[in-house]
Amino acid sequence: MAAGAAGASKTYSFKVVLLGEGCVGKTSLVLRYCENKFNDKHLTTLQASFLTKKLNIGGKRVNLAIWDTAGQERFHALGPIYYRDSNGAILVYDITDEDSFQKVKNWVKELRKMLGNEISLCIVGNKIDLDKDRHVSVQETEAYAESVGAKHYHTSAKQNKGIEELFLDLCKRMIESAQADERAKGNGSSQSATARRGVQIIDDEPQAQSSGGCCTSG
Amino acid sequence: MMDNIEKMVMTQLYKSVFCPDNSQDEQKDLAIQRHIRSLHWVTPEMLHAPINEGKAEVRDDIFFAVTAMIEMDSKRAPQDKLSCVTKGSNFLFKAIQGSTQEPATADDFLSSLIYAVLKANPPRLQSNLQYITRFCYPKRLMTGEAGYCFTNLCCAVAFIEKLDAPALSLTREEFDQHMQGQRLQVRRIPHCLLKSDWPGLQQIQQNQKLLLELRSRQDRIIRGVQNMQQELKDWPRSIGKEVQEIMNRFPLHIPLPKVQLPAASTVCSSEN
Repeated sequence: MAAGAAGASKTYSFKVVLLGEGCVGKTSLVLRYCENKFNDKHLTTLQASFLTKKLNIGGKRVNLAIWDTAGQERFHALGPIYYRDSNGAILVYDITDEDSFQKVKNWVKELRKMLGNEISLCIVGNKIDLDKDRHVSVQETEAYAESVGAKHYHTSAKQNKGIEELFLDLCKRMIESAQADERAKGNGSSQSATARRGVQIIDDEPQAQSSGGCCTSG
Repeated sequence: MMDNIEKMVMTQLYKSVFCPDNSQDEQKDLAIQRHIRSLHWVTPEMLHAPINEGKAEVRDDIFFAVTAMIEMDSKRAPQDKLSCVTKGSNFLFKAIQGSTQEPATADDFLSSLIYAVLKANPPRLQSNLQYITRFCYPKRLMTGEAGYCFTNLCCAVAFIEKLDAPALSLTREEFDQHMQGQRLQVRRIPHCLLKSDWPGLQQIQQNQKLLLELRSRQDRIIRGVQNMQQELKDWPRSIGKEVQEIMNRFPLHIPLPKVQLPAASTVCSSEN
């Protein structure tokens, strides 16, 4: 599901979820990335919750589907429905809001628990144009990101800083993990990596019956 | 090609695989339908949905979204059902943009979708969701816009199932009162309704003016009546006073008829 092969040249399609508290600027971030707009009064965009972007990274075509998720506290329990089967997650916090970083930590724990290491995580400190009001320390966040195997970025949707790099980097990482996935598949052994996604049918009853027969008699 | 085959196969199999007898889907359908019905009093404000029902276009969009969601049950192939969800969602996006003048965020969308589902109460909702999850081509369901809308619909249903007082920012008591139908629906009037260009409102204002005028007239009449009553009460008193005064001024002396008495006795005696 991670990557769809199309003819000679590969086209990867990735699902990226955008997580973060209410007003950390998730929407501004994607709108800036996909349409290069910020707080435009004459916005023609109907919605900013589902956006797609086509990329070409080193000859590899990538279709990126960015899913914004509802970040309000009362919707917290619905998270797993959103990030099911996603390849990447962008966790956004507001550098002027300590609380929003704590939320990010919760999300990371949950994602790692539900999806393991298959998902590429990005922790993003947004609103660096408001650096004078910073309440979250750079060292702390970067140390945390490293400890959970995520990458840390600083962005400003207002000034259009760091956003392009963030998405490009994430795509590269997702391509890598997709390729690793394929290699594991290509090696013939339909083991861990692939079996994890589908339904695993363990056929142990007949085995128990014929245990004296062929398989494990010796 | 795959699409068409999928469509054909599923249309043929629809009767036997939709809401199969051996699953609990039917009970779940009825349960959620009852639950939604009991939540009829929920307003967009309670859900923090940025829907401005005062605007005619927004109302229309919501109406179309609701219709699309109800229509879902009548389609057979999973992708047709899915396209109903997408259609409904697009109307909602339009409604949100019409209300806020900004592109819809996920929070806006989800809360509006919850509102629309509550309004629509789509028939056999749970069965339809299960059917799409079970039989739709997984890739379509997980990526793409339709997938996004469907995921949000699942979220909305999950939210409605667990809906409680804090989720609507109400207290436990208020929530219970609403659920038992004891509390009257208090709807805040959207301020755009207060613009004078709305015909109904104009009528109301006119009526109100008329009523006010009538009331002031009635007040005047009542005051007049009271005055008159007072005057009526005062009148006999003043007459009495006058009479008393006059009587005091001209005391009545009735001279005793001394002369007549002997005359009477003479009459008596003469008769005897």
